[in-house]
Parts: sequence; C-alpha cells; structure tokens
Amino acid sequence: MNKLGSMLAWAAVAVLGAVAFAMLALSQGESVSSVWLVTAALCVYFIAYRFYGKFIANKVLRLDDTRMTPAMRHNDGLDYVPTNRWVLYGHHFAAIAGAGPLVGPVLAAQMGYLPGTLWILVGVVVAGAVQDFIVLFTSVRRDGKSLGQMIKMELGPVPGSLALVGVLAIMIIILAVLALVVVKALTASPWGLFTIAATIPIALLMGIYMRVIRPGKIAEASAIGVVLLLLSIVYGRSVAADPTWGPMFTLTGPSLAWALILYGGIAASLPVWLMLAPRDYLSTFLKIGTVIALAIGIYVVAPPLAMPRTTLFIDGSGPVFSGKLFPFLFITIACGAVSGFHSLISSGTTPKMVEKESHMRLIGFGGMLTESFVAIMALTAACVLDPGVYFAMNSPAAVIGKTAIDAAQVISGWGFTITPDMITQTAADIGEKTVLSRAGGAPTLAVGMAQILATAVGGKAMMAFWYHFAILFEALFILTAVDAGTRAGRFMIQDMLGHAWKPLGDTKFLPGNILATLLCVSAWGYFLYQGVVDPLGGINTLWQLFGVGNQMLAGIALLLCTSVLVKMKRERYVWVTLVPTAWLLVTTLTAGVQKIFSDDPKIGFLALARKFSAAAADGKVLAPAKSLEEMQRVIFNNYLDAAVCSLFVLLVLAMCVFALKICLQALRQANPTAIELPPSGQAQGARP
Amino acid sequence: MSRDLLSREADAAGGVERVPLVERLQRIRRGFRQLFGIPDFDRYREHMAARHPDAPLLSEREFHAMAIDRRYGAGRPRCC
Repeated sequence: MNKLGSMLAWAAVAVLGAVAFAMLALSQGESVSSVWLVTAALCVYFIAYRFYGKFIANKVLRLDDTRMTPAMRHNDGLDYVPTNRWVLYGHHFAAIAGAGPLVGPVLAAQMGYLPGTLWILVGVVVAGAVQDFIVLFTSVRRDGKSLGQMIKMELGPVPGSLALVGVLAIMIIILAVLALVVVKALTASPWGLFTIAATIPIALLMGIYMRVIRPGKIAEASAIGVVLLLLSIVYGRSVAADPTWGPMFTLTGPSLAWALILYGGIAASLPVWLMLAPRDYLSTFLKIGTVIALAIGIYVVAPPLAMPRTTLFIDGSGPVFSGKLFPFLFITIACGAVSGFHSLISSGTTPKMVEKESHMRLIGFGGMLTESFVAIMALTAACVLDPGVYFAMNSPAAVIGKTAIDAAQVISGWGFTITPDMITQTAADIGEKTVLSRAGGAPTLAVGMAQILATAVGGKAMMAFWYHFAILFEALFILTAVDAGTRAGRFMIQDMLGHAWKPLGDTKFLPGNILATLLCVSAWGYFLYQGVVDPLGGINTLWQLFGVGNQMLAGIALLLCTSVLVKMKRERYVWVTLVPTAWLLVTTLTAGVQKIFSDDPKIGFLALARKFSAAAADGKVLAPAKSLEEMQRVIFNNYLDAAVCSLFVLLVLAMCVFALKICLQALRQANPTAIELPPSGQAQGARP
Repeated sequence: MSRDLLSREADAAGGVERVPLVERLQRIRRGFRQLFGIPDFDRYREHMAARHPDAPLLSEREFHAMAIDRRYGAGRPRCC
C-alpha cells in the first residue's frame, strides 16, 4: 500500500475511534447505542496493534526472522510444528479465552459501563497484550521453556519454586470460582442442568467415535456432538416440565457443589481421549462460533446501553462486590485487561509452533487484543440489560431479599426503577423459575446474549433457547477447565510430593496419582463449598481472591519480562514492561492488603472474622449464620481467605526483591546476560 | 514442504496461485485442524519420510491416539 494512503486510512481509524468515544463520554440524556462502545474498542485495538505492537516488535524486542524458532529447530511433526500464523493466532486465542473475560466485566458493570470499558482498553494495550507478547518472545528465544523454568533460569532457583507454589494456589482458587459460576447458573434450573449433564454422554460418545470408530475424524465427531447438544437444549424444556424428570434435575447449591466435586475427581482420572479431548473440541467450536455470532449480533441489533455511564456504586457500596473503584475494579476485571494465567499458555504449546519471530506480534499481542474484545462484548451484553434486572440477578439474597416484590423495592430504592412483574417476566422469558441472585456472570451474560440474539434470530419465542444455549456455551468450557485444571494441579502436586518421597512423584504410580488427585479436588472443592454456602453469595469473596492471585501472577510474569529486557541491555525500553508491572503491583497490593486488613467487615477478611468472633463470644448468632457452629465456620474461612491472600502478597513482594537484585546486577554488566539460544542455535548447543 | 492456507512460495513469486482445488481444500482442512490443536497425520508421514526414513511409522489410528494423549496427558493448564 502506498504511504499516503496508509496514513489517511489510519487517520480515519483514529477519527472514527475518537467519535465513538465522544458518543460514549459526552452524550447527555438519551442512551447510547452499544455499537459505539464496540467500535471505540475496535479502533483502539487496530491502532494499538499497528503502532504500539510494531514498536515493541521492532524496537524493544527486535524480532529477527533469521533466528531459528523452536518449531523450525526441532520440527518433529508433533509438538514442534511450524504453523501458519493465522492458524496459530486462532489456536492461541482458543487456548487463552475462557470464562474469565466473560465473568469479570459483568461483575464490574455495577459501576456503570465506562470504568470497565476504560480499564479493559487501557489495561490490554499497556499490560495484557504486552505481557502475552513478551512472555511468548522470551519462551521462543529459550527453546519453548515454560514460565517456571524461565524464572528459574533468569532469576534463580528460589524464585522459580516460589512461582510454582503461586501458580498452584491460583489454580486452586480459579477452579473453585469457575465451578462456583456453574453452580450459581444451574441451581434450581432443571433445564440448564439437563443440558449440561447431557454433555457428559455426548462427550463420551464423541471420544469413542474418534478413538475406535473413525480415528482422528474430529470434524465428523464434532458435528455429531453439536447436533446432539442442540437437541439437548430443545428437549431440556420438556424434561424440566416433566413431573418425574423435572424434580430429578432440580438441585440445590450444595448438592450441585458435591456433584461437581465428584465430577472433577472422576473426569480427571479418565483417559484423556474419552472425555477431555472431545469436550475440548466441542467447546472450542462453540467458543469461536459464539464470539463471532455475538459480535455480528451487536452490530445487527445495535441495542442501546441501558446501564448508566457510571453508577453511585463507584463509592464502594455496590451489592455485587464491595470496595471502591480503586483498587477493586482492577482486580475484578482480570482477564480481558491483563491475566497472569496467559503467561502459562504463552510459554506452553504456542511457542513450540511459531514459525517466524515476526509472527509473534499477531499471535501474542493480537491474540490478547481479541480476548479483550470478548471482554468488551460481555460488558456490552450486561449493560444492554435493564439495570434493575442486572441488579436483581447479581445482588445477594441477603441484600435484596428472596422475592421479586422485595427485590424490586430495594433496587428501585437505589434509583434503578423496576417492578416485580419485570423480574418475573424476565424469568418466564428465559424459561427459568427465578432470576434473583444468580451472581457469577454467566446467567447475566446469558440473558444479555439471549436478548441480542433473539432480536436478531427468532424473536421472543427463541429467548429461552438462546439463554440455555449461552449457559451451555459457558458451562461447557468451564467444565473442560475443571477437568484439565484438576489434571494440571495433580501433576504439580505430584511434582512437589516427589521431593518428599520419590515414588509419589512418578506420574505412572497409581496411588500417587490418586492421592494427588484427591488433594487437588478437595482443595478446590473446599473453597467451592465454602462459596456455595456463603449467604453473601461467595462470588464476591472468591472472585476477588482469584483476581488478586491472577493479577499477582501477571505481575510476576512482567517482572520476568522486565528482568529479561534489562539483561538483554535494552534498559532504554524497560518502561514498556515496568509501567504495567508497577501499576499491577500498586493495584493488587492495595487490594490484597485491604482484603486482609480493612476495618470494614464487608471488605476485610480479618475484620469479618473478628466481628463474628466477638458475637460468638457473647453467644450471639449473626446473620447469615444460623448456628454457633456456622459462626465458627465463617470465622475459620475468613482466616483461611486472609492467609491465601497474604500468600499472594508475600509471594509477589519476594519476586520484586529477586527481580530487583538481578536487574541491578545486569545493569553493572557491559554485555547482555540474558540466557538466550544463539541466533543459529543448533539443537545440541541449545540447552543451557 | 507442506504449507497451509496460504502458499508462501506463490506469494513470493507474486503470481496467481495455481493449486488444484482438491489440494487447496486439503490445506484449509489442515489449517482448521491445527486451529483445534490436532496434529496432522499426513504432515507426520511426510516428516518421517524426509527425516527418519528408517524409523517405524505409526498407523493413523496409533498416531491420533498418541497425539491426544500427548496433548492432554500432561494436564495442560487452562485459562480462566
């Protein structure tokens, strides 16, 4: 393209973005179309990719296509495969995108659409995409090493082990919170539970088909799977209405929690081809398909944003989660802006498939921008809902009561006018008995998606179908994550147990397997159960704990990136990673310390524990507990949460010290000290 | 050497790609399979023929079984 034309085109993108932002920020009175929100985001992504991404690629990292990538070096036709960059971009996106970017923005919508939008956009460009890109780069230059191995190589063995402990802790919290999202969505929802339960035999069938009947025919198996899934949604309504089957699929929260714990233990012990692999293919199909459908849906339907720009809840008094905009917005929206978990994927399978270094801008930076776009769409879907309905779905029963009449009164009192009829009508439209207090993001997003998709296809009659489709879409990849995460946790635990007694570390040693699986499942199961019985909803505690942990991991990954830049003697550009590192440390340490020490029992774990201890000492039972025994449990759990939170805080502080030491050492050196493979790296000289 | 979706050689030549439809569909199919993280049997066979002509070759059934076990066996961490 000629230079002038290109300049004009980019100027046009910039102007369009500016207009879209002006519409969002300046419109008075009447509501703004969600198209402006999505357009503003897209313009930011394109400009960031073209200019900032290119700057990082050419100036900061100096990507070099003459260097051998691990895929070219080892090219074994299996793990190490040079892959077309667009294909790898899609593969990487499918691996990083999960329920995270769908849940966080929906919870953050309680503060209005603007704070969430701004953090998602600024966060992804400055922090998230930078992290994913540079970790990918670092791993490719080190023969596809994992995050833990790289921290060990560049920062030393102690930080390496610390990082692994942190990863395991975060994994356990994330499994618990994801399972909790599913529990919240399926409690007393026979239709939803039936369709989710149906995915188990469907996956088994697909697994057998791909293994025994037609090996490797993934497309055929997935087509069969998708058709059966759609049928299960259609017939789910009849099952739910059936006098004998309906009650069988109507479970309470605690029973669902037990069912999920049992499921996690069994699923993680089955051979991978039987359930994990087929279900992963299915969820990848649905994930990519649904994201594209939702984007098209928003442009076709152009629903107005019903949520105000900002709400009164930025002061920290919100019902969905407590705490002020700073720092709690920044840990509530984790994935979508920046997610530490991505550093594990960017140093996992992706670096082994990169064909040329220059491709990494699209894969690492571009992949994360796409994930951020998913977060923007989730936020949009939550904000096109009537705010009254949004708060009815996301506030705990302890705040809004258990009936539509109570809820409508409380929520109208906040200034979001709603009638009890609107609440019951919403439930009827989506084929559920109630929508009250279904926190956790998934149901809210599903109602928003159902509204958008039903307007585009099928009208109101199809709303219940689209709602259950959306729930299925989320639950499917959450259950895959529970399965895969339990396995990953098991391997980590076995690895650690192996240090205590060697045979336990052997992944082929069955008692070792069983012990590690049990430990992993009971760890996340404990937090899950605690969240389910928590009358304040559980999500508000667990999600924030996860947010702190996930952002801390991002901080650790960015500290590694910073150290690597300094060791490469690129300290001129160190601000690229230092600025996001500093911001993440400031927000997460503030949030972490507040979660532990705040005097407000709604925020501080210790304050709540003390409040309950004092009451228990007087023999009083505080709501939501119903007995002194439950009081003790609340007290213990809050001390436990405080301990987990302290672990994250201490871990990241320790990593700071290690990274600082290494950086200071490297600054004194005249030559680069980063441990990279040589440019022409042959396989044998490669391993440092 | 095999290419997927886009033919780099053809791009370099700047000419119109003259690839039979069947092969073009094959490439698209391969691309989609890779998108889902499924190793390609043909690619494996080509690789073995080119680099390890003497090594024993897995059957398609064995290859897919092994590929899935390898991919998921180590408990790949999944994102949030």
